Amino acid sequence: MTDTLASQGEGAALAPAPLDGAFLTEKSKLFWLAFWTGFLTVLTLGIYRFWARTRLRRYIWSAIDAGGDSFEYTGTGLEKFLGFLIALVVLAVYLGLLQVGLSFIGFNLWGAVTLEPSGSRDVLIQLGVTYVTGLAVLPLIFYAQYRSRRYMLSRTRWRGLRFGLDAAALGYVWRALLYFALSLVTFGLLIPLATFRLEKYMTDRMWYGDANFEQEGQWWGLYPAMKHLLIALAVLVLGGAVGIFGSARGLGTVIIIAGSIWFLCGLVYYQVESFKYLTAHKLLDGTVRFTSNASSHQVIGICVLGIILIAISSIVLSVVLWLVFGIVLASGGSVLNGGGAGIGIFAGAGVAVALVAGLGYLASLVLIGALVTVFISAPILGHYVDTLRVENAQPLEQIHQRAGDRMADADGFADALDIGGAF
Amino acid sequence: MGFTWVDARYFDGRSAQRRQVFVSLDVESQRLTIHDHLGADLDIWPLETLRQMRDDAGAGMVLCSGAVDPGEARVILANARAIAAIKAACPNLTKATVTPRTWGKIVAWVGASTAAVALMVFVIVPALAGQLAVFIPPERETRVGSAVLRHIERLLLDKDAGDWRCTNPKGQMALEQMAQALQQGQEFPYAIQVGVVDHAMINAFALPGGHIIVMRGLIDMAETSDQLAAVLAHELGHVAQRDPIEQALRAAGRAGLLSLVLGDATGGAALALAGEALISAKNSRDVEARADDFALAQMRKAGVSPEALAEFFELLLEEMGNSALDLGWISSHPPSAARAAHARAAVQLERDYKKTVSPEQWQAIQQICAE
Repeated sequence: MTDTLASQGEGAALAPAPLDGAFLTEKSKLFWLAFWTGFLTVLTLGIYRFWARTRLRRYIWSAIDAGGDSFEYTGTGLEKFLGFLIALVVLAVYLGLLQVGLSFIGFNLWGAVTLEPSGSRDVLIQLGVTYVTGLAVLPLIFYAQYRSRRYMLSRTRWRGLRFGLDAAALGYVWRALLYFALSLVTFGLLIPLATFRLEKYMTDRMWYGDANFEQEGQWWGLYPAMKHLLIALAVLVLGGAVGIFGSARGLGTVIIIAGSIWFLCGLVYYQVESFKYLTAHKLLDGTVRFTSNASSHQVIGICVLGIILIAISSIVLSVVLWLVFGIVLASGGSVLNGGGAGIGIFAGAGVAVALVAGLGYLASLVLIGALVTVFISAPILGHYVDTLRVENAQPLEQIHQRAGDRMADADGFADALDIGGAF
Repeated sequence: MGFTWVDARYFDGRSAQRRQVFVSLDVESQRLTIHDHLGADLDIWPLETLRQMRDDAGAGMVLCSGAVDPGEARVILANARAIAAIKAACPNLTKATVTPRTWGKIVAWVGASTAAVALMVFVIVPALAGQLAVFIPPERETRVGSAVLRHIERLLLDKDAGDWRCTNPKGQMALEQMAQALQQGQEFPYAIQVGVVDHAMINAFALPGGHIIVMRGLIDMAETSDQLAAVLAHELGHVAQRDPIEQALRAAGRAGLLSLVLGDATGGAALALAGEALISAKNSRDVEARADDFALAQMRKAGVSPEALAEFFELLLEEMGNSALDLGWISSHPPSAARAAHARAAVQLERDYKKTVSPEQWQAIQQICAE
C-alpha cells in the first residue's frame, strides 16, 4: 500500500493528475459507533451528546479520502460542551427578555384584535403576534449556522493543514435575512439568488491553509436546477384545478399526490444540481478547480432504500419488543419482582412493565437514529465524496498552514438551537 | 520490541506536502524517530507524548505527538507489525490528559452558566414581569382574560356537555353578594366577575382581567359558606395584585428554556416538563403567601373569621391523602400546616364574627349548578 501511495505522490509531482474523493467506511463499525454513543447520550440525560457528535465526526472525517489521504477532525467534546454553556447563557438572556417583551406587546395589542377573529386583518395580526417570536430567533439561527460552519472548518484538516472561515457571521446574518425575505415574497422564485449569494459569501471567506477559495459563476446559473420543482408545482396546480373545476375529485387527488412526490424529488434534484454547479465554479488559490458528478437518482435511491430498510427493521424490532413486553406482562412481573403477596405483586408488575416499555422505547429511538446514520446520512455524504474530483491537484503542494481559530463558543449556538446537519 | 526503517507517510503540519518517510521505534531510549528518504532525522517524538487518533476509519494508525494538545505533525503507519509494536511500547497512546486548569475552566463555566440561567429564571424574568404587568391597560387585560377563559372552556369541555356555566340566579346573586362583601375598602382595576363551572375538580382560579372561576367540586367540598368566602378572598388577592397577567408574562419568559438546556436528547422533554413545574412552584410560593395575607385582611373587614381559611387548608390536607388525581387547587396552591397556622393566628378571640351570606343563600350557592 505504501508503495502505490509513494508512486502516486511522485506521479502527482510530475504531471498534474486529478485527485479523486473516496468514502471508505465499514457499515458495521459506523453502526456500533453511532449506536453506542447514542446509548451513552440517553444514559447521561443528553450530556454525552457533545462527545457523541465529536466521535461520530472523527470517524466520518477519517473515512473521507482524497488522493489517498484522509481528512481529520480535531474538535473535542469538551470544547463543544463549554461552547454550549456559553451559548446557553446568551440564549437564556436573549430569549427570556425577548419573550417577556413580546408577550407584553401581545397583551397590549389584544385590544386591537376583536375577541373572535372575524376578518383577515385580525387573523393576520394574531398570526403576527404568534410568529414574531419565531422570526426573532431567525437571526440567531443564521448566526449559529455560520458559526458552526466556521467551527467545523477550523477543526478539519487534510494533509496536515487546517481549513478555515473568516470571522464574519454578522454580515452573513443580515444577508441571509434579506435573501430569506426575498425568497419568501417572490414565492420561492428567488431561491437560486439566496442559495448562490449565501454560498458565495461563505466560499469567498473560506480557506484551506493559507489559500483562499473563490466562488465564481452567476446566480441565475442555478435556475436549471429548479426545473423539477417548477414542473412539480405545475402538476400540483393542475391537480388542484382538476379537483375543483373538473369535478373529478379522485383524479385530482391522484395528481396532487404524484405532484407532491415529484416535489420531494425536485428538492433533492435542486440540492444535487446546485451543489454540482457551485462546486464546478469554485476556485482554490486561483488555480485549483473541482468537479462533482453527484447524481440525484443515486441520492433518491439511497433515501428510498434506507427508508425501506429502516421500516423493515423497525417492524421487526417492535414485534420483538411486544413479545418481550407480553412475556413480562404474562408472568405478572414475577421474573423481575421475585414474587410477593397481594398488592406488592401488582405494584412490582407495574414497575417492571413500565421499565421494559420505557427501555424498549429509548432503545428503539437510539437504534433508529443509528440506522438513519448508517443507511441514509452516511451513504449520501459518501456519494457526494465519491463523485468529487480535484482537477489539478499539483498547486496544492505549495499551500502552507494557517493559524488555529480558537472559538471559545465552538458550535454551541447550533447545539442549543438544534440546527446543523446529520454530522 | 522496536523496529527500524518502516515506511510511513508524514505531514509536517506546515505545508500540504506529503512525504514518504521511514520511522524507527527505539524502546530503550523511548522515542520514535522520523527519517526522510535520505536518512536524515526529520523529527524525534518521545514515546510518552505519542498519541493515536481515535475513532479512525482507516486501517492504519495516525500518530501525533503531544501530551495535552496534539501537535501539528502527523505520521500515518500502515505496517501491521509496526502498529502492534507501537501499541505494545506506548502505554499513553489513547490517554486524554485533562489538566487542572481545564478542570477549573469546566467547573467555572458550569457554575457560571447555571448561576446565569437561574438568575434569569428566578430574578430577572419575575422582576421584569412584575414591572411590565402594571403597564398593561386593564381593559386589554380583561379581553386577554376572556380569551383565556374561552380557551379553558374548549380544553375542559366535551363538545356535547352543553352549557357548563352554572347560572342558577339565586345562587349567582348570593355568590356576588359574598364577593362584594369581600371587596370592601379595596380598589380593583377592573370589575370582578365571579362564576361557577360545572366540573368535579376541586379548584378555583383567577384569570387576567378580574375573572374568578370556582369549580363545583370546591363548593361541594366546602363545609361552611365561610370556607368558600376564604377561597374567594384569596383569589381576590391574586386579582388585586394582578398576579394572573404577571404569571403569564413569567411563563412566557421561561418557556422553552429547559428544553434548551436538555437539548433534543431522548427523554429530555419529560424532564423539561418536570423542571418547569418545579420552577413555577418555587415562583408561586411567595405569590400565594401575599394572596393569603390579602385574604385575611379582607375577611377581617368583612367580619369573616380567618379560622375558615385555616379550616379549608386542613380540609385540603386531608383530601391530599385521599385522592391522587384531580388535585386542582391543591397542586397550584400547596396547602400546609404552616399556612393554616398563619391564618389561625389572625383570629381575634374577643371578636364576634358573622357570615357573608345567610344560610338560605349558602344553600342556593350549593345548588347553583342544579337546574
